[in-house]
Amino acid sequence: MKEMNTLLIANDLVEFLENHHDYLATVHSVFPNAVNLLVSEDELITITHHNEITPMGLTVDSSESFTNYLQPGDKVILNVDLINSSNGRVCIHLQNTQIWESGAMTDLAPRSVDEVDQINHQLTKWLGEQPALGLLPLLPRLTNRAVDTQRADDNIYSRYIADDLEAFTNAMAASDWELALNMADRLVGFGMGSTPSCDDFLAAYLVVFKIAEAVNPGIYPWVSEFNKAVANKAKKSTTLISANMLKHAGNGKLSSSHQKLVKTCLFIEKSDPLQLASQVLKHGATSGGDFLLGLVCALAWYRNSMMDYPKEGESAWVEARQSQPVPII
Amino acid sequence: MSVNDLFKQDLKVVNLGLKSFYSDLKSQGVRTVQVNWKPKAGGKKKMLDLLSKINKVK
Amino acid sequence: MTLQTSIKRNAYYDSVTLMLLSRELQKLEGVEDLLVGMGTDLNLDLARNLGMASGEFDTLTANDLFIAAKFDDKKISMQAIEDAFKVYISRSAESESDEDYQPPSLQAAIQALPGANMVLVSVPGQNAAAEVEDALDAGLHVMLFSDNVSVEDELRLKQKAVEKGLLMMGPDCGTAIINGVPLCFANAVRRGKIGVVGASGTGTQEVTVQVHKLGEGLSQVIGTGGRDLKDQIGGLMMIQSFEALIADPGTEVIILISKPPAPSVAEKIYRIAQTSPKPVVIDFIGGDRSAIEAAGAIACVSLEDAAQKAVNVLRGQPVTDFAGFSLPDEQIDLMVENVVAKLKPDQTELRALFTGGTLADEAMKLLADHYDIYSNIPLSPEMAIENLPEGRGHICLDLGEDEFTRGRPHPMIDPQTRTEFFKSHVDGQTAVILVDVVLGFGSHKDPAGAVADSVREIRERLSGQGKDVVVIASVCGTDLDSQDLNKSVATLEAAGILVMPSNAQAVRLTDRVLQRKMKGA
Repeated sequence: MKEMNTLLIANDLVEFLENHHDYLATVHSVFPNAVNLLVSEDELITITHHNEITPMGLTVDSSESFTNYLQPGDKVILNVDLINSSNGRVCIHLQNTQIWESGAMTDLAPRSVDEVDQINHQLTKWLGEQPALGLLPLLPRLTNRAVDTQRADDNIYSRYIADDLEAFTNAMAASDWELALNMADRLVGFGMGSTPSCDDFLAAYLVVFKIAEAVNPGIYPWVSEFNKAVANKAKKSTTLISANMLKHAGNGKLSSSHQKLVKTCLFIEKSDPLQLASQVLKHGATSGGDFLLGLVCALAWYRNSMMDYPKEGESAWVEARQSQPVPII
Repeated sequence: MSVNDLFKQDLKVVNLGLKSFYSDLKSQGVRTVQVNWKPKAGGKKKMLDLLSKINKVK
Repeated sequence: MTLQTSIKRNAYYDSVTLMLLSRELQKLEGVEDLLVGMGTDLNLDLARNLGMASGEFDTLTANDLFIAAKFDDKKISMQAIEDAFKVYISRSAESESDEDYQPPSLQAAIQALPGANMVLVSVPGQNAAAEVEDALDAGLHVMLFSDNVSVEDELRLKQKAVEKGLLMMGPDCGTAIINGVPLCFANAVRRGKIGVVGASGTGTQEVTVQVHKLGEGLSQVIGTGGRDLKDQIGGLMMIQSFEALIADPGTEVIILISKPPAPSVAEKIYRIAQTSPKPVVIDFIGGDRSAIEAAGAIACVSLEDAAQKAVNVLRGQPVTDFAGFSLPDEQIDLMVENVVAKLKPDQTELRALFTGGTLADEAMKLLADHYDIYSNIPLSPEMAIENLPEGRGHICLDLGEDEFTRGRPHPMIDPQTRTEFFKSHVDGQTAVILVDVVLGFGSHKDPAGAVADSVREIRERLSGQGKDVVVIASVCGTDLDSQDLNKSVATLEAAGILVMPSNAQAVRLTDRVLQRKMKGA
């Protein structure tokens, strides 16, 4: 029997466990660094190690591959202080763990448009130097650099989706969210991996939209409809893992490394964006790169959009802070 | 750091490519790291100009 | 062409695994096209667009993994593709659970490994130069294993390296031992006072192994890459390394190894040798002896001889040519008599099949006086293997050359290529088979075993014609190598192979056998 201790648990998972006792979940998928448990019809709980925690998730102190202990279909019993596999092979203790705020409140001030622009320049340049996996070969095209004809290693997926991806980013850049939502039909579920590339790309947009809306209440009333619509599309058009990911992203929640990066891009704090971006790449397989591509595009949208409403944005944020706490990343 | 300086140091190796070279070094207790290498995405072009893209769309 | 789909329900793999997997499966013989992905509507659209969709697609859901394959069912089956999939997945699962951080770029790696001082580059040639440039800019020394790097790039990079006082070993540099650490293909040898600079991989390996056998050790073993001593490069690395060894307090004797350099380059080397306070042993394999000696350096008749002389000079012992055998002459004569007696009159030919290019080159040079040997690395153009008259004559092949390693591993890593050549190139007219068996880091885990198996198979085949064949080998390895020298020798001898202590001696024995056979016939 392998005993593990929980290091960190997401606040939304704490809430779930407090409301459910002896809850029977099924192992949905197992990776060396993560296990997904299916609760209810389509909700996933994610257990990880390596310090990367997700919404509705927890991290443990073991570093062995989870495939040693669990396989899809195994039953797991959930309690607020203990998680037990019914095959008797693993048991996770939950006492005295730290709580991780997914989608936490922040007291931080939003960055100025120029600062966001500067950070995005940095990120984009750095991203251009990274291995061209997944959708990354499209970086020059989507950020409007001269297309590099001796671009190495673009793949069948990136080639096929290039036009659709560009149509989406153009629609958003033109502030036509309805058109963009339509374009998203051509993206959700497309690409390699158990979180298809385009989903990771879109997740970045959803989170940035959510933040834009929170920082400027009333200016982006379409965001919640947009994000919900994408999450609903995802339920039908993509993998369960990805649908969960997009649902959380729509609510402004990401896994910890992604969350830290987005936070430092949009709010005033001292982290190094490139260092955080490396962490995202490290944890994500190509998901990391696809997310980052979406992020640099979304930040460009954000900067562009904020140019139209600079004063309103800042004063609106100040007002909002004074009236009621708004959940922002 | 010249060649003769290198001779006085502990070898610390960055490996780009065949993983077996990295594994061999590790097995000898040499400090080494394996790069998860893929060809570059954006090449060595000049820094992009986001503004021009946004202006163009507007 | 057959189109079939394999479906894995509720299967989840990360995208890098899937991408690498699909590349691996594409390479399988008989597979024309392959698409791997989750069964989302859009991915299925892509598959349909590529003509890769089949009937089973209708049953796919977003949470199922599909492998759509177009293949020639005479060459491969869906089952074989499935099996390869399973093997790959389990292999990548193993390496994924290796928790070591793999930074995504050189810059990230340098940050992750403070004090990094060497970069080992073995990525595809067309990408290698850029990586080397970045490494040199960052102030790190470089070992460039990759080949297919242009001469222009090599020159530019070496000039930069020399300017910064850095090593740029390569391109096509397979062997180095820096600060006692074997890099790429190298043998485990003891540390000591003899320094080596080599423009040829297996030549360097042979010299280091011989030094170790004689009880001495190596201070530094620096590779320069095969082209360094040509005119265009001008010996940049050889010269820089030579000077570094002269300045190195840990080195007392220096050995230089290369094929004969361009005359202007040789000049520069001789000038340095002339003023060197440390003894210099030079093996310009088959090169001009008198010029070497005029420069005050010690000339050699073979790689083994270079090692011997270096050891002798280090020990203050007399330096003489070693052109004979370790075993007493009587024993050699007896050996030769015995094996020649087993040969039939029409068995007259040599088949030398080498994994090490320099060893093949040394073999041909030592035999050049008595034999016309056709080769893919011929000593002169008319001896190119294509000119072999109706497949009859003596053959010596470097199986590590490009034409034999397209799309397959080097024969030092994977003995399969040589196994095939044993089958195709050895027949009833072969008198002697000559091989090298290279141990050490980078090499296959049991090269001797592979050779022994092939030899047994050959003998069985030839016994059907009432014939036998003479097999002679040398083992380039030490007792410290993981493949173990003694064990390897025993394995070869158990298959009736005559094992000599060095490549040069193996070649000399080959010469004796062929001469004796010719006289007897």
